[in-house]
Amino acid sequence: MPVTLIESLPYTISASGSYKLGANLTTTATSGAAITVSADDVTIDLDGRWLSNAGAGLSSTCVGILAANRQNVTVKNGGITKFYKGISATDSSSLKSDYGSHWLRDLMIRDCLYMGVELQGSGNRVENSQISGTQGYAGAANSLATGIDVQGPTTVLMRTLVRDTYGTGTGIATGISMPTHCEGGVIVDCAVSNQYVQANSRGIYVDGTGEYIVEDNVVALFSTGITFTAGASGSYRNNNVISCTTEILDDSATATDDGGNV
Amino acid sequence: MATSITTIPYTITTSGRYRLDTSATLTDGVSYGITINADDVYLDLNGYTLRDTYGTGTSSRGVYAVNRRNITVENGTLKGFLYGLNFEDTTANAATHGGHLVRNVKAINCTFRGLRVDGPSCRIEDNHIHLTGGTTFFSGAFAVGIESLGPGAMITGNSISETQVGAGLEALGVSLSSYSDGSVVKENVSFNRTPPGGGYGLWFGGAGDAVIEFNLVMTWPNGIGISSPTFGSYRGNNFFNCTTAVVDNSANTVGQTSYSADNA
Repeated sequence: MPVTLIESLPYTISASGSYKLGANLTTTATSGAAITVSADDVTIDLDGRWLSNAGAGLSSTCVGILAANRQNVTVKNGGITKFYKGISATDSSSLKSDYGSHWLRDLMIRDCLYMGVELQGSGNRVENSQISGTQGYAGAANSLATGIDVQGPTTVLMRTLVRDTYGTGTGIATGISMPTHCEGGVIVDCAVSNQYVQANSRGIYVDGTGEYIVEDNVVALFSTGITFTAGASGSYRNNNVISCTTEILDDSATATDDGGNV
Repeated sequence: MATSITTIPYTITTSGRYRLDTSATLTDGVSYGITINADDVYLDLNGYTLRDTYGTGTSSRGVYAVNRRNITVENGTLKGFLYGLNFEDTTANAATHGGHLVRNVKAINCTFRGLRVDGPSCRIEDNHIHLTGGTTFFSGAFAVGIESLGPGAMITGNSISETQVGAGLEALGVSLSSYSDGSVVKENVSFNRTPPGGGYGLWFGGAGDAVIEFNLVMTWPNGIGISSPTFGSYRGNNFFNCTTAVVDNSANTVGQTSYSADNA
């Protein structure tokens, strides 16, 4: 059985396997998902093509690729644009650790309204991707905007650019967020930057109990460059934080500045 | 033109290009997914998954080869096997059969080894190993995310998470187990949510001038272990939330320096 081509939207994947986008595909749906993954052990190769929600407007809640309570989903090699969330892989278990093992790589996720990537579950990896222009959701006042939002343990983000993340009104913008249940989270070799400092914006934000490593990242033009909240523990070193109102906000009693941060 | 693989167990007997064209499952606990009995083989897993659903008592391998040269495996998932991938070199010092490349492979829920690649001059890069351990096929077994025996291995850009064993046993995230002269372990992430019963995020055993640098190691009993009489260099690694960062039992001789700068 060759790789299954996805040639129209919406599309539901209901069997394990390998799938490929057969063309640039656009949906104007304002809710639901363009591609819904309803099976484990799935690879989606975007094959250099784009998945788009152009024309759906700024109040669309349509998700590009949705995988709820799934294991072992890989998405790679292409673009996703103008969705409410570009990719949403969720885990409804209480500790966000029953699902996961997802791998996102070589992706360009542009101009999504609320989140570029929502990634939950255990043992996920994101690499070599670009998430840019996450902003502008009009379905609620003062909307948050987050480039990559992780919930779940032992996730690694590496070699990824998160660019131009802005909330609407007083909504808080966060480049990379690990807000809860992210024990063992790693953020390394990423660049997180905006073009101007938006009030209350955060470049890299880790929260909740657990251990984190934040290392060798570049963060620019946020209200706070790197935040470790009171419950978070971890190590930060060799990060280059520039043009942020507060470069590093370490409210943790147990996080460690291991040097080299400038 | 690649040869299509649509059922397992499958044995490759001639060199060439092969492509997995379906996800497939083994259930008997003894069969191997794809056995490679030829040199010079390229195997594209093509985004598919090979699974073993037998459970913790399995002795199965996802992809297996013994005493072969120049095998490339990439782009897919190996799930639930005793070894996700197992390339053996049974000759002296594991120095004869190698030249393998394993990349962009996900090995998850493997019970003993995620990836084991033996032989000289092998590259293991950009793989994702998650949830290794728990075999009941061997008693008292170590769990290892990535294991290499033989000289000149290059192990880079891999993530190894949740390598777990119970109390009194040892887990290893990445292990240069022996004969590892001139090997490099660089820019890997070896990490757990909670520490295993024992073990090391990175293990360097057996003599030989290896370089271990710029790795991140988090939540292990020990960050890096260097056995006697190994020698080499480790630097720029970040060991966090490890009870002991570095256990260095190397016995260096003149001209064989254990260089340990800038580890945090």
